[in-house]
Amino acid sequence: MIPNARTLAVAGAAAAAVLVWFGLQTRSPGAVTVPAPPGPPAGAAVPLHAAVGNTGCMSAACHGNSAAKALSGTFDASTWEGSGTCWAARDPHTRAYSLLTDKPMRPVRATAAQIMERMHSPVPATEDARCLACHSNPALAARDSKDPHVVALRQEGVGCESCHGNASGWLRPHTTWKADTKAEYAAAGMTPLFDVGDRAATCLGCHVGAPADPERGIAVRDMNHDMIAAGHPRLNFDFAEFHRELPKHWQEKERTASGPKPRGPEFDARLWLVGRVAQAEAACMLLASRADRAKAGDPRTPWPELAEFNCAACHHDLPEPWRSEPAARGDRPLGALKWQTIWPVTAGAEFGAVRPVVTAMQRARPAGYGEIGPLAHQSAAKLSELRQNLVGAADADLVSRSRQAFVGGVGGNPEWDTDGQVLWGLAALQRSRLIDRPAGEFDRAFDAVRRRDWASARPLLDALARP
Amino acid sequence: MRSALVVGVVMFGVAGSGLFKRAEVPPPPLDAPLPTAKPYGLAKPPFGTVSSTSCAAASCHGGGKLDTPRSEYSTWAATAFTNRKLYDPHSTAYRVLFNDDSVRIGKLLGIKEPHKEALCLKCHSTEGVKPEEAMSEGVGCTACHGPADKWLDVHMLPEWKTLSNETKYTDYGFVPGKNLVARMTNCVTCHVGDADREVNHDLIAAGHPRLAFEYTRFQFNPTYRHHWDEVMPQPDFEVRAWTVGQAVTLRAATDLLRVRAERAAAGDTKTPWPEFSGLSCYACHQSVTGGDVGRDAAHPRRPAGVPGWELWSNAAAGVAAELCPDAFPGVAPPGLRELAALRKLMQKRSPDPKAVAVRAKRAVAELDAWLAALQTAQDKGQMPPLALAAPRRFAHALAANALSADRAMLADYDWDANSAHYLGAAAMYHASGGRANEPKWSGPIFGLANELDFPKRKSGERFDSPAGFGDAKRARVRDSFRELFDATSGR
Repeated sequence: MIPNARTLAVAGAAAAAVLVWFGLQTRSPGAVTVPAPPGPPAGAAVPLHAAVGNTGCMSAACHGNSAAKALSGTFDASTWEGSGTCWAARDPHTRAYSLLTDKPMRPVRATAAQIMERMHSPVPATEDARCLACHSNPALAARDSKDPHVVALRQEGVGCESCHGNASGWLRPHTTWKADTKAEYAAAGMTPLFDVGDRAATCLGCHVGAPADPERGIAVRDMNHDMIAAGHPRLNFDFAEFHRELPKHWQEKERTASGPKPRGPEFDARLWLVGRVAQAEAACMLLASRADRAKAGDPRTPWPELAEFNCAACHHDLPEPWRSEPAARGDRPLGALKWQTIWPVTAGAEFGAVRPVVTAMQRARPAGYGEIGPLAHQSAAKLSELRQNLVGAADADLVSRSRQAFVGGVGGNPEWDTDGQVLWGLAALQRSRLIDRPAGEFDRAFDAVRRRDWASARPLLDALARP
Repeated sequence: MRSALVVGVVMFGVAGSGLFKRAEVPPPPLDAPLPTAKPYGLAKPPFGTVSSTSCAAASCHGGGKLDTPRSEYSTWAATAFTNRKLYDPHSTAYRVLFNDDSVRIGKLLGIKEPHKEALCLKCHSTEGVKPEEAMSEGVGCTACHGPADKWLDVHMLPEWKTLSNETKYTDYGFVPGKNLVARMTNCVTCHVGDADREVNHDLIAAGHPRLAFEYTRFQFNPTYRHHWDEVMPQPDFEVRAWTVGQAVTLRAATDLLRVRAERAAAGDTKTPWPEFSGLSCYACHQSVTGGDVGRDAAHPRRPAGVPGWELWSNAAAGVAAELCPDAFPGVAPPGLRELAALRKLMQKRSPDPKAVAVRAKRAVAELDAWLAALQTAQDKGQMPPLALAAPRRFAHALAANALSADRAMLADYDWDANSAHYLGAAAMYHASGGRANEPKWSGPIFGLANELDFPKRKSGERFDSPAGFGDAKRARVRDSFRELFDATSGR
């Protein structure tokens, strides 16, 4: 260990050292050639944020053991041993890169080639950083697409390091960490996913989008209206719901000073509320980034960006007279587009942090990039603070705040985005045993929303939300 | 010999319209010289006016015998004493400001009394007429025929007939409606809009119908009671009216874009940019589920996600330009290169208002020269009658233009673009005498009408959008255009 650390300290040889170490540790006969990570920044002792690849994690002695228990829904102190296997077996993120190729691993309505053609793109999706930034490890998107090592890493899809952070700085030390403090994670370049706020923010980097992060080599992640118009599905994310759907490859526990503690029943409600706030925060950061890029004259950043708005604000048949009624519009002027719906954060007055952005974007003439940039940055900072408060809030406080969101009914008018998000929230509360309604009621409500049968959906939603 | 010539012209029409669709010419330099010719009728005559009652004397135009000469006013005002199945909607333009829709629109826009609001009155009443007379006035005589102060006393004198159309307009403020360019130039001030009046997206969002002007369709609306007879025979009138209508509507839309772009470039915060009402409504207002978007039913050259600029007035105008010499012998097809460059500028999600303003101004000059040529051709005297096959040639070129070059797909999936082609073809069908003379057309023409019609709501009320205009309907529209293409080829 010590000689290796010394070797690592020699900046010029760092890359080779990681390779050597890595080759020895994995003992995997069919291991994919692992590319040399880029050299460390000048003056740094340890190369942080260089990608290693899934194979660096997947040895049988590390995270490549059997995942039988996790895959059958049992989680214990040994779950981590098969976490890589679990991911490889069932995680949808494994397929992410394939969707950019002509052999997608799941059926798609529009292939990447069709999308790129409709966008008049000069390069294929597998060479476009905007696509790669979410369909593979974001920190590899800006690298050279002709480099076979880079391509091999990308083909792993959204793998370990995409969420946990590139491993060059933590691959070795993380096996010896005892306290697992955030400081240790940060110093080594590992993302503290045990913090549900950071976890949500990590998901949202792709599932909403995010500005570039030059320090970690992450390209801008911006799935905009041009791509949607060309056939990419819109993004419609709810952290709690997607979290529930994801095959877990970890044991859920709270890291307290006195050691790990199992999560209480309120955990789903916490995931939901933290997720909603984090989503608004991510949306504000993306908006700020779009404004900054539009201001700088980036040719791929149109302004106003239509993906900022509720899809159905425009995409509805005419006429739908209720849309122009004051009850549906609130203080939004006639014909002004509704900024994206992140219920309940963008709906209620209790989330004051996001109001300035909502108001500016929902004016008859949406705010210009010069004006909205600073507003969005400020809102994002306030929401970040709120997110961190919610992560650490006492159970009782959290329960009352998440229940509070539904007091006074779900309000507003029939509208797909709102109703879908309300239902996901109610489902999270049901999992947390904060409400107790028959499963059939949920099924009927989801079905009505899916069919856009508002007359049936509204009473069902109101019944579910009733205290 | 004659048939060979016709075939030749048809071939030219097809090749020509295809060329219009595909040619990728570089934009003309911004300092290239522009034509200077302009039609008369653009600037508002600076004269006072009188109300319609001044025309309604029994011995003048109020004879009371509907649909006969000297009873023009009586015919126009017929709604007052007949049922409303056949009437001139201009006579009710003011009255509608009191109906439920107008009250609701006003309420939403913060307008207490639409019938007193300048924004509404600009098009729903006659300019210069006193408000207390406006009730019976609506869009009255002088709104279309020109402010009457200078011509009221002289237009019945024998000397009047000796004046040229241009003099009548310039010196007296009389709009010589016989000249199609002068007539329609006046229509579009309201039906498309100008620097002084527009129906923008705010107004539409409040419930005002969108504007979608196509002259021949409006004129032959079965409920429109005409108070005049067209002197020009068919098919000449219909072919020329459609051609002029395309040019005039496009000119007005382009000039409106120029005005909006100039305001936006000057930083006017009240002018939205891009102004949504200048874009295709149903590019945004459409269902986006499944196969409804139509990306695969057509191959327009717009990048995905860019709503087309004024597809309503742009889509079929190329055919009018290419076949212009067929309708107005001696008038050369306008190149419209400035317009092509403008369209290209507008094919961006965030067009640059400064660049658009500059290019739009140049495109208007180009269109003005075309209009001036069309206007002069008609004013010069008797034009030779059109060949009976002229409508067929136009319909063929329209069908070709509505389809992709290999006719495997539609040229555009947009409802506006397809409807513009259909309306042109329908005008030609009408011009050629309909089913009696062209039995093979009626299938595709009525097929198109059927597919493009807005669905009725359960209550029988009209739906304000082509809801359900998905890939299945688009495939049938494509088939109808193909059928029309075949039915109009040859001979």
